[in-house]
Amino acid sequence: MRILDFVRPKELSRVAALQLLAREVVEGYCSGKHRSPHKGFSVEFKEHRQYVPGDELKNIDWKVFAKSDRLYIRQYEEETNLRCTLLVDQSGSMAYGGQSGGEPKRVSKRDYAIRLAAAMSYFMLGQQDPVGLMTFDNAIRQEVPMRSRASHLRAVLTALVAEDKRRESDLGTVFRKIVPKVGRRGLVVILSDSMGDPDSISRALAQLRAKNHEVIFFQILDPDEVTFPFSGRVQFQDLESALPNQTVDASAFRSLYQKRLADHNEAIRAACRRSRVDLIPLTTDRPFEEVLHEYISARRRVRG
Amino acid sequence: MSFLNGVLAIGALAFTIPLVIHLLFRSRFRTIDWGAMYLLESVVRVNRRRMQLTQLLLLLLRCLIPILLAMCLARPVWQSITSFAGDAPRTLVIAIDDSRSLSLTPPGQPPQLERAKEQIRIALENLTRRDEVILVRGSRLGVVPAKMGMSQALSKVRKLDAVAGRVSAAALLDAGLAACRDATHPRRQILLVSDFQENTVGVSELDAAKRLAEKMERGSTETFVVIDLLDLSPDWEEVSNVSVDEVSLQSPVLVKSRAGVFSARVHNGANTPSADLRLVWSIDGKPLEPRRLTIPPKSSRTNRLTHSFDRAGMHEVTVSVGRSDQLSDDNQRSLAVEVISQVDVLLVDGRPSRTPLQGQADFLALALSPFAFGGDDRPDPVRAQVVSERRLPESLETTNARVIVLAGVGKLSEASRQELSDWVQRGGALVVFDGPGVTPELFNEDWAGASEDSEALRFPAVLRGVVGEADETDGIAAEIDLPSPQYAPWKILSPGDTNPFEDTSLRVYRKLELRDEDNSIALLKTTAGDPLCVLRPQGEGKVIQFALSASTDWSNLPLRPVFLPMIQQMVLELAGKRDQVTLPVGTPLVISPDEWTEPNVASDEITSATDVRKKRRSKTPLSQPSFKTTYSLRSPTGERELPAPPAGEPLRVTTTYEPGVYEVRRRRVDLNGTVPEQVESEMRVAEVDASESIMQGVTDETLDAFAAAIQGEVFTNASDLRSADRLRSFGYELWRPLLILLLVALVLELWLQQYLASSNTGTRASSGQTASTGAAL
Repeated sequence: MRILDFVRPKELSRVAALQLLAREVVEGYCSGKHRSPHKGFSVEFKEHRQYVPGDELKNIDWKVFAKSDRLYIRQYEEETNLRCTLLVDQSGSMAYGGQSGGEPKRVSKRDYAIRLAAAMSYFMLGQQDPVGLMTFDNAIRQEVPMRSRASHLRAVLTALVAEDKRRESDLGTVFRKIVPKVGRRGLVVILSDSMGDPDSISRALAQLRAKNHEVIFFQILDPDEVTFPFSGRVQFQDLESALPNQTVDASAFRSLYQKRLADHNEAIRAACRRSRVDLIPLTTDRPFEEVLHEYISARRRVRG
Repeated sequence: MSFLNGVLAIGALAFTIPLVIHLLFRSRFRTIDWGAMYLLESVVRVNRRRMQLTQLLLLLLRCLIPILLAMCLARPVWQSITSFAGDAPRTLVIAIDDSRSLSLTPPGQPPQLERAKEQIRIALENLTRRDEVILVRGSRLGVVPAKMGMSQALSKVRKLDAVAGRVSAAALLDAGLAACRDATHPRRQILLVSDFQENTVGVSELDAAKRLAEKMERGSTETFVVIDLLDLSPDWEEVSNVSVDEVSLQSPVLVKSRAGVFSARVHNGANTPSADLRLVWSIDGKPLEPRRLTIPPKSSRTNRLTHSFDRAGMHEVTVSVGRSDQLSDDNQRSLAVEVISQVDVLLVDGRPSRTPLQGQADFLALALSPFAFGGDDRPDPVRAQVVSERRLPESLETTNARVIVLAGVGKLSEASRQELSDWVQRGGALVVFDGPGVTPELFNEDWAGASEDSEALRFPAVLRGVVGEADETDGIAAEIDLPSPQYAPWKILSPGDTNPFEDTSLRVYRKLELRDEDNSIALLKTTAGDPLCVLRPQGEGKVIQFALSASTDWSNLPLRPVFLPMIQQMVLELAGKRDQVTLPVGTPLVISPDEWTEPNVASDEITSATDVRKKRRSKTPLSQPSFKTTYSLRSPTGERELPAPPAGEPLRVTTTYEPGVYEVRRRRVDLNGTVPEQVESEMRVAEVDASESIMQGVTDETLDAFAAAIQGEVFTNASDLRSADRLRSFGYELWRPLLILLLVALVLELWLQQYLASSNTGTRASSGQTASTGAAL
């Protein structure tokens, strides 16, 4: 089986570029760090506990018994592999990459999400952690099962770059479809611009949490969507083609839009807080290293 | 509505600029493929209407601003339903109260007169070349005012002076209205300029103003008269003024070489006392020894001068106070007095007697000429001539007497009665004493004059019966009460309210019944109230009727010491000059022909006209063809020749506008050379009313009432008047409210723009903060 069987040459070049980028990012981040000799599992000693009837006899620390004539159970910290599922939003609204002009063209939110997902996959596969992927818009579009092999990266990357159609998104509905497919308890990383009904998203997140998944939500926004730097009369065309075009005096609506965005963000933040989901708001002008650092921090919290 | 600068209103079209910009802006837009439409769409859906309204408001404001600016520059005027005169030519009647109070220089301010001129100048500047001005001066109300243009009026106003006496606001207004009737233009305006001193507007002025207003209403409706009052009143409280309010002669008559008493009243109107005021009396321009006077604040002091004149004729007595105050014109006042050589009295004895002091008039002759009777060299003020009833007609022909006394006269010829009647009507004084020989019928009937149209002489009281018995030497019919306090000459008889007639025993008196109680004064009464002496004016003369005898037949009064001063004072008072020699400023000076002497009387010195007046009954015509008569006037403004009046007409001098002495001289030259040159003079003094020196203004209420009565408006300066005038002519100028509106629109536009901008910035800042906070998580 060759990779070309699954990926077109054009996509392959993109995958390669993505892989290269992911490696650069991760290695740049990890350089100088001590790599753990224990890969995949762990027998780290945690504490002694007094024996109570019912405990496995094999766990009794006989050396301690010999010294103190008391029965203690030797407890180890079990280090299991982290099962990570990446949920990447591929809806039309993610295609926005800045049109205010003047500055160098930024990457679109979709590209940013793909690169971020690629970097994370590379990082996790590098630690022998199993990684799965689902891309979605208003439905699940690509689904890559969870594997921990290093060669699995290519499958993930291929799925990430596979399709680029502008469809409208309905995060709440699609999340609810995703929940049964995620499988065993693990880490779920969502990469989305969260353009949807906060209540619906909140319910979906609650469902994920109900399955004991740890969820990290990367809310990716374009800087234009935060600052709304437009002025004069502007016709806004919906990238998802779901809503009618709006021709307005942009400067007059700036404050109102910003207020609406703030309200929306607050609603998302509240939903995440309620479901104990880690929300990481991002704008596409932020470096990947920083974002990866945020991810590591968030994952540490999850595992801690 | 119309515009003063109509062309500039075109600038209002500039409103199209923001409109065009708006429309261009609307048709040009750029398209953006937007991701967060989920957020934007709801915002636009909810706020589109509101934002559209805000934008529309902003557009309207931006369009309004150039319109308002153009309107302001175009100066629109609002004309209501009433039609406005616009710039139609008008006649402005400036009625100025140029009374002396306008000469005042209030402390720390320019003179009132200069202020008035400046204000009038400002008012005149408002006029156009077509307008007409009529200047009416309060001092010259009798003068027919001339019509003039603006420049001529300005020059006339510059020459204005303020020396006149009291000017009544109503009279001034009346003169203004009279001037209006001669106005050329139908649109008329009266500007009443005054300092509105207290004497300008009184109760009578308010009534007169109402009558004038009624007259105006009844008048023609075609012409429209606007009345404005320009109030130039200073702060009266701050003004301090010392003035000579009055100079008067206290003596009843001034006789040559006999002392006369003058009094001057000096008023200090200031709030502080005037210490050591220097007061100078001047006689005929020659100052006497200065006197010192201290006057408490807000009070008056009287100063007296006793002076005797060496020469008969007209004399000028002047009082001046040396003090430089805020109104210096009233620090001096003059009085013209006539000094006569001697008073001639004709005594008609009803019962002459060869025995001394037995005649009816003997005691009177003694009382009137005591020095002559006692063989003294000193001159008597009175020269008494005693005649009998029979000699009376001849004496009347020749006498120069000012007073005729009938003492116990019982009968008189018809001719004598006619002559006496006419004599009294012309100004003579007749005194009638009762007595044993008097027949009441003679005095109870009227004495007709010589001609039918002359008024008959009627005595003040009807003679009734006699009270008491003449033979009873010890009997007392009645006691004489104190003399009437109303009769000034007899005030000296009873100093300290002691009865001078205490030791007088009145045995007999006649019962008098007053005919006309309103015009008669009882000078003497019994303690029971019966009149003993009655005075009544008759024509231009006076008649005094006694119920007593002038002899000792009825009483011992002629023997009492009080008799002499009593008779002397009475006669001198009756002989006193009654011609008006002091005139209010501006009053025409009139000298009738009979005040000059006759042509056949030779004199080489200036003599008083009065001294030679006795010749007026001469049948000789007043002007002889052989005489050349010229008149000249010496007035405060200078000396000039006067045109001779037509024969028999009085000489009139109307230009007595300046206060001071006016002396008219008549020079007569006999063309045949038979009579030497004859020069006579008559003197008059023109003085300003003392009320002009009272530095008190009318109250605001009075002034408002006056203004309301004549439907006038009161202004305190000409600038306000100009504004009001413009409003009346053209309507209400709208540029001020428009300017305010413009400023409001500018501020509103700025605020609206800033509000939108600031809310954007604020929200952006807060959202940026939110984003960064989120990123920190």
